[in-house]
Amino acid sequence: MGILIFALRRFLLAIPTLLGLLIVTFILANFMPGDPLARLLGDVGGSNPETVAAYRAQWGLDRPLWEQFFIYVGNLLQGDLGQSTFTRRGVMEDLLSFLPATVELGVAAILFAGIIGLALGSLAALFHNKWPDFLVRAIALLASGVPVFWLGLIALQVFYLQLGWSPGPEGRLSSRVNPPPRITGAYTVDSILSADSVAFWDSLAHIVLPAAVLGAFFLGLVSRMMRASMLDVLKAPYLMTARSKGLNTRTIAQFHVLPNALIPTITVVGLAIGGLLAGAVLTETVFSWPGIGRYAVDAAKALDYQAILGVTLLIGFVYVITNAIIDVVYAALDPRIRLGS
Amino acid sequence: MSTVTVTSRIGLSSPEESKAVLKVSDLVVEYHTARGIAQAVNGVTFTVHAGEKLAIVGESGCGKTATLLAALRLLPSPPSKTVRGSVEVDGTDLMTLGPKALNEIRGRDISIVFQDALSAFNPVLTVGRQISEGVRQQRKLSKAAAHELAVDMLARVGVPDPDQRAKQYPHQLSGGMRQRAMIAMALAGEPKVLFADEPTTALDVTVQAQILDLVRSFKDLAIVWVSHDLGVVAGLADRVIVMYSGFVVEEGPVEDIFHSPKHPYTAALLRSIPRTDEMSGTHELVSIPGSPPDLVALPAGCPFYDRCAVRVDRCATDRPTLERVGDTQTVACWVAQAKDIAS
Ligand SMILES: Nc1ncnc2c1ncn2[C@@H]1O[C@H](COP(=O)(O)OP(=O)(O)OP(=O)(O)O)[C@@H](O)[C@H]1O
Ligand SMILES: [Mg+2]
Repeated sequence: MGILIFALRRFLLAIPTLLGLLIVTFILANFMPGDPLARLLGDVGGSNPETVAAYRAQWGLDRPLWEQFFIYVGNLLQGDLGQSTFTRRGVMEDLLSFLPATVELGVAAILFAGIIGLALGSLAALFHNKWPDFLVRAIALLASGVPVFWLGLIALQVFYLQLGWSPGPEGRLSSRVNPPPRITGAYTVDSILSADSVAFWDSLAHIVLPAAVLGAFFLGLVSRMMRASMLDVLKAPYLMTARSKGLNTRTIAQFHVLPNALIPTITVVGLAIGGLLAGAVLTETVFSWPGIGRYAVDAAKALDYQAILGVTLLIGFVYVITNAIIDVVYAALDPRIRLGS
Repeated sequence: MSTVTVTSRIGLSSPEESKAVLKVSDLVVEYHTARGIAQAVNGVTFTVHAGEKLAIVGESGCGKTATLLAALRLLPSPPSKTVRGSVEVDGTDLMTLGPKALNEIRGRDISIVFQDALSAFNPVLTVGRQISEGVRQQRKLSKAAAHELAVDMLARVGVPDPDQRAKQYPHQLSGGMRQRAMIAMALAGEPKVLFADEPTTALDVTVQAQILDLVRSFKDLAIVWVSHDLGVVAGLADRVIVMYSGFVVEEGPVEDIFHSPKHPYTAALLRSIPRTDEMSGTHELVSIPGSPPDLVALPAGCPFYDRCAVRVDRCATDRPTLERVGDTQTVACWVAQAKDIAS
């Protein structure tokens, strides 16, 4: 199987990238503005050189940077990312508890934006230069042009305060609803798995608005890309060949138009994953969503060195891995990539 | 408007051969451009009999491709519009069919091969699948039967190792191989008529010769072959149609067209064939002076008037119609027709 070998190669290639990410993040974190120690020890402790020195020795901060790095990597390999100074828990533990909420939100946003974006883009291409096309182009422009933060506030104003269709910015569930037992960490999934219909509908109602807000930028991007690449495909000579063989419209759409139109769309979507992560931080803040974004903001405010380092690594890791996944999907769609020319 | 008398033109050797499998009548195609309406095909009419090889020749832009695509209802609209005409395949007019009925004839009774096989194949599907998918849909074949058909077709067009090739993607085949595969794809439904739009132009001479041999071997297949290359036409065709700015200007058996062209454009075209000088080995190309008329503003008279060496006054105002000249040819030229009557 060509695609399995391709996938294996692609993921092996991600390892040096991840290592580079680790080095760069570690060095940058050491040049972080502000003095975490002063912050941590307070005015009194921070001005006492002995306390500072003892503290530095305790945390290994008196050793050379490269030695600190190897200690950090060694711990990382054992699943230890150090202690968070503001939650007083292990950073790894923190990340694992905040991550599922973000993943759930991100996946919901991608699904929302992907499905609607692909449909809108296809519609626009099929009705090229007619009113559906103009409408979709206007939606796409708006959706990816409006800042996430602002869009979130507007959405709350309209759908929560005015229309009352959506719950307010109260996180993942209403306070009266108990979270489902943790299986995957995603409430919508876990409530289905444990057959808890109350939690399911409540968590679904809570995720729709933030997912739509977070996915808006993506929706604009996906629909524009899909429209453009579908217009190209509709003009392609192989479509004329397909028609000349007497294929019906369904076969042509399913096997000739769609896969070819998806290839460039997928590539662009992959490049935009970083934007989605940045958007998650803002969306979580607006909707009080207890995810990595919120954790990152709190860590930054507290100058929590270990937590910031951990979050940065995690986001980088997610970015590298999603890109590898996108590349594999891309190769699965396009045999010219998979098998080489 | 051009009309052609089609009966009794070709030397009828058997009743079987006289059966017309394709009748294109008064085909008119326009392109809507920013400059106005370009009249790309102007009343093209021709008939193809079972097993007959018909060539359409003419300069670039004279409407050869537009004719073939319009006949199969493959021209994208907009910008093009097939204004008029009928295309009868075995008595059924494609122009009046609904989409479903049309799809039952395309690929099965009539099909087409293009010049560039790489772009004519979908890059993400295997060659075998693309060869068989039309037939598979029409005859509801199983996956295994479809693969078998593809392998069989590839073997018939002389592709070595057909089982392996059928599983490969278009980009993995060589140019000549791909061209053969495209022919296999067009022939998979066992059509009676094959359109070929310069399918050998992009290939090197050796491969081109192999493809021509292959095509010649399909004795029962009626072929409409579009080409710039009169050398190819001479070796392949029974009959030739010469087109100029969307009009058929001359038609006849290949030997007669080559030995005694009646239309001044046909004669000029024949003179422009690059000949290899036996002594020096160099190619000399005599090009026809001038350029074809603007299709957006066709002249009222003969479209070849500006470039014609034998024109008379009448040619500027009256557009010549296709008339019989001599025993076997039809020609749209006042001068040739007058000469024929005089002799
Ligand atoms: N998309 C288009 N828009 C406007 N005019 C077009 C378009 N496509 C073709 N035409 C015009 O229609 C005429 C016929 O084109 P066609 O492709 O049939 O020529 P052809 O005889 O096949 O030429 P060639 O030998 O170069 O393939 C040309 O003069 C061209 O200018
Ligand atoms: Mg052409």
